[in-house]
Amino acid sequence: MLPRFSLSQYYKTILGMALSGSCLFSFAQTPPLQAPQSTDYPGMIETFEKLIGVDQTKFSKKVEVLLKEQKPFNETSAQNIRMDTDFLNSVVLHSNPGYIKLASGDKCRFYSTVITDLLKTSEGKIKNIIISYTDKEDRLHSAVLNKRDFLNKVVLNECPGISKHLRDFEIKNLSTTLEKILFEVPSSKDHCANIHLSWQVNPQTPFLCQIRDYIEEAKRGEGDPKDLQQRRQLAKVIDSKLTLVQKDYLENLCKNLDEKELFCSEFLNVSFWNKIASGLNEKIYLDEICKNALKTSTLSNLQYRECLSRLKRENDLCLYNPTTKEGLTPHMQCDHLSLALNHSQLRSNYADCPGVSSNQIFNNISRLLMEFSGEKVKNTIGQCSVLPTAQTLTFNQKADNDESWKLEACYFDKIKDREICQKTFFGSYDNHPYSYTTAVAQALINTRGAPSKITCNMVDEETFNPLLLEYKNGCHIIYNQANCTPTECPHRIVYNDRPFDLMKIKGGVDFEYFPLSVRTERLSQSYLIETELKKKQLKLHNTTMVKSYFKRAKKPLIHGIGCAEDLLPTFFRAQSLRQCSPLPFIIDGMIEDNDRFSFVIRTAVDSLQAPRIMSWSQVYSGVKSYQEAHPLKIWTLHAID
Amino acid sequence: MLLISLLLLSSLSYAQKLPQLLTKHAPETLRYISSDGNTAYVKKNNGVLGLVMGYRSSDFMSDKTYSDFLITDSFEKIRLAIEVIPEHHRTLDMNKLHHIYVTRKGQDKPIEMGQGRYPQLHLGDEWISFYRPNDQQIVLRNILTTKEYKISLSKKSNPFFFPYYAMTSPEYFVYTDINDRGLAQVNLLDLTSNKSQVLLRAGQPGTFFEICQEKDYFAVGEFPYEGIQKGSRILTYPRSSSKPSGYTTLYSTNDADLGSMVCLKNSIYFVKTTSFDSTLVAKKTEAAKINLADSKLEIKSNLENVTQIILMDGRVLLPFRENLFVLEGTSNIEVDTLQRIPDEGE
Repeated sequence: MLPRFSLSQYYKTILGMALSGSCLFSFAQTPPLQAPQSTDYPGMIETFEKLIGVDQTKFSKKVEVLLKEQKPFNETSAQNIRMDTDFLNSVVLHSNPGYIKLASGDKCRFYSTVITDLLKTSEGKIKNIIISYTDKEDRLHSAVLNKRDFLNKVVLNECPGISKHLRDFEIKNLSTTLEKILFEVPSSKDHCANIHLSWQVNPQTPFLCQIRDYIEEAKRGEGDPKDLQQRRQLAKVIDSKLTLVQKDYLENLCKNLDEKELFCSEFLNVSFWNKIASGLNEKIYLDEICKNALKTSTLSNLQYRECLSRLKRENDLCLYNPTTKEGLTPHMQCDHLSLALNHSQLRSNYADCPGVSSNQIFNNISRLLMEFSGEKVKNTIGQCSVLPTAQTLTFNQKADNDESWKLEACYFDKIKDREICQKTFFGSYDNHPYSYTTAVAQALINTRGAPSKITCNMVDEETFNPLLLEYKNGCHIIYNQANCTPTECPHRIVYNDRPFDLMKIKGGVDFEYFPLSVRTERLSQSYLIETELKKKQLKLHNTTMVKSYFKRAKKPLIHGIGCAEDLLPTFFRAQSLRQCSPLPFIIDGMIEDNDRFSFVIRTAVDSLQAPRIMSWSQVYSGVKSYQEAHPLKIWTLHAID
Repeated sequence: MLLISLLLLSSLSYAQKLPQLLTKHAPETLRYISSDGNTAYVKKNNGVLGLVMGYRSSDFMSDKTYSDFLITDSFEKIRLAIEVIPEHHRTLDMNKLHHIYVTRKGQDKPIEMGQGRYPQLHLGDEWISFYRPNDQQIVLRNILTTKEYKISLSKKSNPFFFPYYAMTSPEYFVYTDINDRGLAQVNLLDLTSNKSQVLLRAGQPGTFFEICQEKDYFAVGEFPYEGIQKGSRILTYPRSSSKPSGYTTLYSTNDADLGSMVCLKNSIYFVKTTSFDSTLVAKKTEAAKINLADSKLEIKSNLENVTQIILMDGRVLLPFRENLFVLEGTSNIEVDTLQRIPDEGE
């Protein structure tokens, strides 16, 4: 019994064998390609050219002979179907090495690459496939099948799963299929290697590359000129279903299927600003920087382009934001910021305004929550930092841990003859029941007989104008944007043009990031991440653990607390003994150079769109110093698995 | 990997050459210690700041359980400024206001001066200044007369900017700021007219000015912030009753040093960048000392990641992770010896 066709084995030896003229000859029915009796060897190229010449003659001759002499191929009686050796030799000699790599995974992927026109023989695109098989009497035969017969009689019989992909990539289903495919952008070398490998074994890859090749060929006017016009029209339709990002991604992938380094360098070494220009990344990373650079509050597409071109020339353009809301400035210079963003993968397509946050615990925890949940940003009233505040509060509520939220809005209810208090935060996020706007509205209903559907707005002092009609009626909470956070916000309330001053604010928020005592361990945010989000955490103590974690984790995320005076010494100076301002942070990327590495880090005072690069030594110092200050002396650098 | 281990080993072995501060107190509790070791303030559990004088120990201040304490002095060594940090581990807000007190070293009850951060004592320790980030104001207050100045900083994009300040004479107060174009500047406030003017302005964005002072001079350092590759310089101004004007450039380099200057009578300590890896965007930093007389620069540590240098009662300290190294001054003050009772007539 002959062994079944094995492509994995084939790929390991195929190139060498093809060149030496000994590829799979033991399985070939007809004599394989023969090297000429006597050959001069002036150089590798000449030998290779001769080999291709021999292959061309041999292959066309074989097809010609088989078409004349072959017996009709009966798929029901054929056994041990496999590719003819000369056919494989021809494929190896004429196909793109990346597609050969793609074809070499297993039999079905080889078939996929054949039917998607990715492989070539000496006749160009494969029209005829030469197979060998045994009949019921165990006699060996060869046959030439055209592509349609090959698909129906061989491929769909042996690899029925391919029919689903064929359906998925029909024009009518293409948009839906593309929507479901994740075109993942890597953030580190290891991450990129995993992505590259996953594309190599993904059964959809041949079909995706077929799309890319089809469009390119039509554009270049290649192939049969008779149907070029028709192909161009079809290519246009297909092209319209792909986004710019998907097109660039497929271009890189299909060109570099066998070149991991090149595939990754497109992502990791190309400027992040170019990626934004090509649509691979969102514009939000540029919003604040460009508004500041161009001294404008809104940005047109033309202004974005102008800003992008300036970023490449002016390295200092990335340093500042136009407002204080976005967090710590100056950021890193443009080249280093681009490097950090290229290696970062934390979700950062929204603003959480650490500059107007009252507790950096909220920013760090909500950054993790937004990453894990992937949920959309909801409707916000008041400061943009209500997002992290409300997210963290909701997370704690779900875990029955809102006891630590002691900030309350109170008023005296004369009918009930007692003080009514409600937990609150200043602002509103997704109509959260603790929103201050809701608390004030309820107080107005109970004390001023306001209509039950009354809603309150938060209005910046600079915007509020009592002379305008829109402020004459209804409930308005007037606050100062520069001096208001979700837990501390001097304000006044105006209801129907009259002041309402019954509200009293009491208490505060006592969240613990890492436990401060054994008694409160179960109330700490790190404990809730483990129990509520079902995320395991691993304490990282040394570089070996860090490297191994980054190698292992699909999407590495490390969170922790360190002393700001060690993490960011030029921003936060120490002038006293044991001065340590605890600063939470998230590490989400690693920049490697041989055995050494740096982290991509966002401290909780940094804008989500402006990470920093920090050495292990610096992070270690920050965490070590905080350990000394911590009541339980715990190590606060945790990897999330 | 081996290389890294070797480097670590060598740095640790060299670091041991820098003496550690040895006292009779647990290092993590120590908040202040005098140069002779006789007066120390230590943080106790449950938010208490203890005062230890010789063999006597008492509770000096108390606050809530998770409060912490910071203590600063000046080169005049008369008073101490104490910061009480409420909810140190639960309200992680870099702009949180601390309660600020002053006291005569080891003596009287603390007097509350206000709320803010980074207190500094000036002019015979009769003045105190601190910064209030919530309204971006520096408060300068006379401890004895309660005369007060409020100095507003310019509007800027960094919500976490903290200025440096020094009272160079009874008439002049210098402080740092960053203007709306991101350029650092040193401003000079004439306390008699209450008018400010720019003393020094950076030529490029992304740097900050730092100030330290001694009896005869004050120094202004310009350093780049984290992540910005720009040069550094240190300038000195003579201290006199007249308006500060001309400076001497003591040090200038293309290296992106960290700063953290400490002014001494004949020298200035600061954190210097000794190497920069442009691929990893990582630098190595060490404590450096520069002589005022001949500008001679000396690297004083081999720890690779020095971030801060502090001055305490004349002793220059280098906090590094859990260790506290001594760069200048006595290091071993853990041994107590009973003092001989003076003979009659002595």
